[in-house]
Amino acid sequence: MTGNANAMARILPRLRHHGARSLGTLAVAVLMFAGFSLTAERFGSLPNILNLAKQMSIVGVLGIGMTPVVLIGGIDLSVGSVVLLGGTVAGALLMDGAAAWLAIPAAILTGALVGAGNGWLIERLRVSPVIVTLATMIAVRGLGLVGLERFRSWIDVSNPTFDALGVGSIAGIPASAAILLVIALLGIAVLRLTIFGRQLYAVGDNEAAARLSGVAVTRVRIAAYVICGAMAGVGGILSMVRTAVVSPSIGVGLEFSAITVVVLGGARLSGGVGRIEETLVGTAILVMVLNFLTINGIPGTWQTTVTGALILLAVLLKRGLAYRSAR
Amino acid sequence: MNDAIGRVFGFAARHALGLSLVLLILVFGTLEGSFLTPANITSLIDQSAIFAVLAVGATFGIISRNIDIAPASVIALADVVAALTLKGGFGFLAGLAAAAITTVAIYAGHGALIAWFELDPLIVTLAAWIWARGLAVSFTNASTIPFHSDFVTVMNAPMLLNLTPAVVVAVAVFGIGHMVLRHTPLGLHTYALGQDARLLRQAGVNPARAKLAIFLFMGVTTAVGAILMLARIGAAAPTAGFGLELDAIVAVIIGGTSFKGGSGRIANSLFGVAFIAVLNNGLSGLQMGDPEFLLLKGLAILAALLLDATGRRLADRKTAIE
Repeated sequence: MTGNANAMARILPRLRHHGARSLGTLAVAVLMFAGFSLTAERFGSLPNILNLAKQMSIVGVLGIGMTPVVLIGGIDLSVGSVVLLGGTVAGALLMDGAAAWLAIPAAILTGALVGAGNGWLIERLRVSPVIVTLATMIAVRGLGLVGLERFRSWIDVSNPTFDALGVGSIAGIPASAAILLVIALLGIAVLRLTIFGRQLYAVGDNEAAARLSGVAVTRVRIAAYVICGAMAGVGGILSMVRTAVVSPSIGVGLEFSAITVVVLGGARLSGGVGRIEETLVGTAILVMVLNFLTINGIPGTWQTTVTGALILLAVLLKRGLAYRSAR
Repeated sequence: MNDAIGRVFGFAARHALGLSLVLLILVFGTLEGSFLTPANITSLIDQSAIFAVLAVGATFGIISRNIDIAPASVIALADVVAALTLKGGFGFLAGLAAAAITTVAIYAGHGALIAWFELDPLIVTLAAWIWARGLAVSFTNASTIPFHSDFVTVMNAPMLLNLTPAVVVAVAVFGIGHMVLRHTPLGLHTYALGQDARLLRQAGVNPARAKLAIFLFMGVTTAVGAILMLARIGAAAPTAGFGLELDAIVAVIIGGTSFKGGSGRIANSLFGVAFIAVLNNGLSGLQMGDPEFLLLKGLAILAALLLDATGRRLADRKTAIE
């Protein structure tokens, strides 16, 4: 009995210290799911759960890419534009008769190149990432639109591979959700198990200390932007899979959704704190709220307002928890 | 001889941005016959009045490390509130007051959240970037609401040198911004917050209160922007000013104010405003589509940043050698 109490006394503070935050967001997500399922009949049904998983795929992948960038204390506002550019590159290749196995890597490579450009400009020019990626957000959207003009600004995606990804499922899980899951597992493994993953945390937590312990800070930071860009390229492909078109408006505002889910997960914008698991939970929260509003017939314009309020609520809650654990 | 060349290069390095602005004007002047006509210059200045006002607020925000990306969304919401007030049978003065109160109240809320709850300004204003625009669209069902009043007529009538009163207001805001930043405690606190908040505490000033004051000041400049926007389009459009906050921030940075905070001047921002205004006006004068416009604008901003960074590095190296 005493032993048990002792064990509890030992574990509880550690739990509070390490796990409370991520358990907190997970608990919010679970409670939300339970509450929504009870109040809206359709919400908890299997088709709707699969639908939620599908809706998570694009924002989730972008959020996973944004996580390393936020970890190093950066930000990337260009990902929404990269979704358009990546989609345009892949769509153009398909239109020119290329196969999907060529078009998909091409979109991802395009994103990685934009990411490399962002990283290079931020590290070499020493200009704030907000400003650099703001400029590339404008330029890359322009570039994507210029490319799309060749096809009268509209590409219909009719390709067997893309169609299959759109309707197919693996063991009952929609293909796009399965892709998200695989990428998430890979990302978690990289952040937790590889040297590079630990270096991301080290650079974001204390740049000087990381530098002194031999971390190639510049290279790690540029790599984070490359990953983010590549994931945005994947987002472009997923967007084509979902809508079967490449249109001028795809990706608009997605950069803010990506930052939203990372923040909802509990990451710190100044760097050093954040996990891909938590980004996924943040994505689930955002998608559940929007889905619940849609089920209840609340128009999309109000959903925008709720998204903004949700961000504020999340950071306020986090702040409140931090105050309590500090005491 | 070598010395003379060195001096020319040194000058070029120190004034890289000034030279890029001159270059931009020369390029547009050659490409478009109408670019340097008085009529176009007047409309260029008229078009840039609103974002010039926002750039003053952005300068305070960036120097004190309190970035604000919400102003354009808040302007859209405030103007919708103004138009609904007028539609509800109140006079135009009540409408303008409603717009101003909405704006300043939102900024006071932001200031409180950032000062006392120590939330990240980027997140707080990102949230408002989303929810304020969302509210503006929801309140109007995404349609434009007219704001008919004599005020709109007066504000669109040419005044001094064929310029509209909006330009006079913008110039006044710049003058006031300069005075406040240089010669008042608020200005001093703005620099101190950007350098190290502990400086303020050591001087016996409450940093939280200083932050709140800066947000209230930015609220006032944004409120002026909201009223100018209402007058310019003579209506409240939920899409009004989309992207204006980005133009304002980029103008401040291109003007040479560091994003790291703690330094910068209002006069520099005026220069950045001129750069963006020339870029926007010149590119749209070339009669190209949106895609090319965005591509060239983004590239021009990147080029200006690259030029400035290279120039600064060369200038640093020169002083280091000397």
